[in-house]
Amino acid sequence: MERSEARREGPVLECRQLSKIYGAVRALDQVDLAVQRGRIVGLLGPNGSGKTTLIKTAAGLLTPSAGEMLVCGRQPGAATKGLVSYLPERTYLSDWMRVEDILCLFRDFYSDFDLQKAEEMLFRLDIHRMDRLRTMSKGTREKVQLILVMSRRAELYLLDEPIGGVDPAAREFILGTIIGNYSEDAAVVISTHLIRDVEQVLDDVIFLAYGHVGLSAPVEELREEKGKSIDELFREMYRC
Amino acid sequence: MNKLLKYEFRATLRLYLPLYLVMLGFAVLGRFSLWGVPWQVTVGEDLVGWTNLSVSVTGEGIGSEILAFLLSMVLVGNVLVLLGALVVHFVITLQRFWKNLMGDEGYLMFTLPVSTGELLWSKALCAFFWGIATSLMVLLSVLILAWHPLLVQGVKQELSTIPPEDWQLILRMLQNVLPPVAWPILAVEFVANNIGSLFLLYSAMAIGHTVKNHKVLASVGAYAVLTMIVGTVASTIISLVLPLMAGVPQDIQLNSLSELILFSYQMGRFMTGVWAVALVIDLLCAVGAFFLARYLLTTQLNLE
Repeated sequence: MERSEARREGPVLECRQLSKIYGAVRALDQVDLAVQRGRIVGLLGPNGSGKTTLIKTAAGLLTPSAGEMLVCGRQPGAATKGLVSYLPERTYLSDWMRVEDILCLFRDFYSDFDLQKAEEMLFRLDIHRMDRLRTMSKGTREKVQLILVMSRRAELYLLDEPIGGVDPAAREFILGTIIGNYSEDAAVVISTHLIRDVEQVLDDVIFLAYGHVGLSAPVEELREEKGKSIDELFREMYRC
Repeated sequence: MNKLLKYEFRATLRLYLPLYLVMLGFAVLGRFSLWGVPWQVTVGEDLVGWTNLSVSVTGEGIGSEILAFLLSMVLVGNVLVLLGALVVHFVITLQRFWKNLMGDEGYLMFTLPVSTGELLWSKALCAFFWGIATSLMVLLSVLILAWHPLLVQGVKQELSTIPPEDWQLILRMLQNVLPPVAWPILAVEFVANNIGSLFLLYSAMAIGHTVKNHKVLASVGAYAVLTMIVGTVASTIISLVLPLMAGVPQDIQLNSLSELILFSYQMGRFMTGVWAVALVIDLLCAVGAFFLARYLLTTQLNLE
């Protein structure tokens, strides 16, 4: 799909009656939602609420059981994968690779990859082109992965638990990298259950629990209307 | 597709290069061990008149026995290395698919802007290439190990006993048995068979991956079932087509030269038909296995 064609009116990500069923479990149950351009959206929910399923479906890793999902107006496939920059929970980089190899891979496959930007960010972290991923700590590999993902000028960034399991200093780096590097006409979806840490960077929130959308609204509107932070609101709604 | 192949070759080269170096190393080591042994070669004739080359270690006593034992160990070691190389090739083929697509690396591979079909083809073409390369390396290792002037001399001696008119007869029969029309059929059949086998393996692993627990065991089970299905389909097609094929040699009597040539001609026609049927079966299996794997990886994929 041509990038100019993708840049049109309408949501970047849209779900219409989207369901995903694993055996007897309904991970997503008739979900309707839309994510607009230029917004940073928090996909918030407890563990097992369907956040990862929703993100994986948008990334083209899962096929919906029913309903429809559209990315830039198209069903997820090879064409939309060139528009989506996806950061999974897992580290997907091969251990044997050097930083240089993975940079070349991203440059070869993604036409929107900004090699210079990636190199600058890696340099600031004192990571060199010839460093092998095998020799890096898990945290450093996650940072490399985040840099690769955020060095793309994508239409939609899907970040699955980017701050899960990292120390507060790393959280600051990760959120700073996200805010400082995403394209302004793109949308960013951040899935997390660590609401307090991401609250300050979000424009909109989607509360997801048991495969259902409980709430979808702009952050400022919610704060003014309810007189509570998003974290407090979430705790109140999904108290065990 | 070219980019996928480039990265697949790069990822596998680092595995195959050491393997080939080990194979060559053992072959050269075996070769030098053999050269260092005092050989005794006796040339005789066996009961049907073929030249019989007998190779043994000269000398008597415990020294020569130990030498003979060490020699046999070197040869056994080399055979094991060559067999091991084929096993390693098979393991790498499985591992590249399982780890790179079904494991954590799949999060990257399946989100690249390429189709699932392209991912499958890149894996299969690369594995096919390395299969041929590994077979050639085995052949080369055997040649390094076994090539000896005395053996060459023996073979030359044997061939020189065949009169020129017999050579002409042999060549004519070979042309009859393997007519030019059969060559492209055999070539395409070889490719279809190998690529189809790889797609069958990939389908089995994709099926196994859909199971929640014991994915490897489920993959092995799926492969057994798929192989049975392919075998049943192949035997059904063969049993239906074979009686319809012309040129099945019957009432064979080989009492004269002309009958021998006629027989080779009939065999050539018959075998070309058999290979053509085998080609159709292999193409059907390859296409079926490819679409099964593509369907499973597109609609049933669930990376953990």
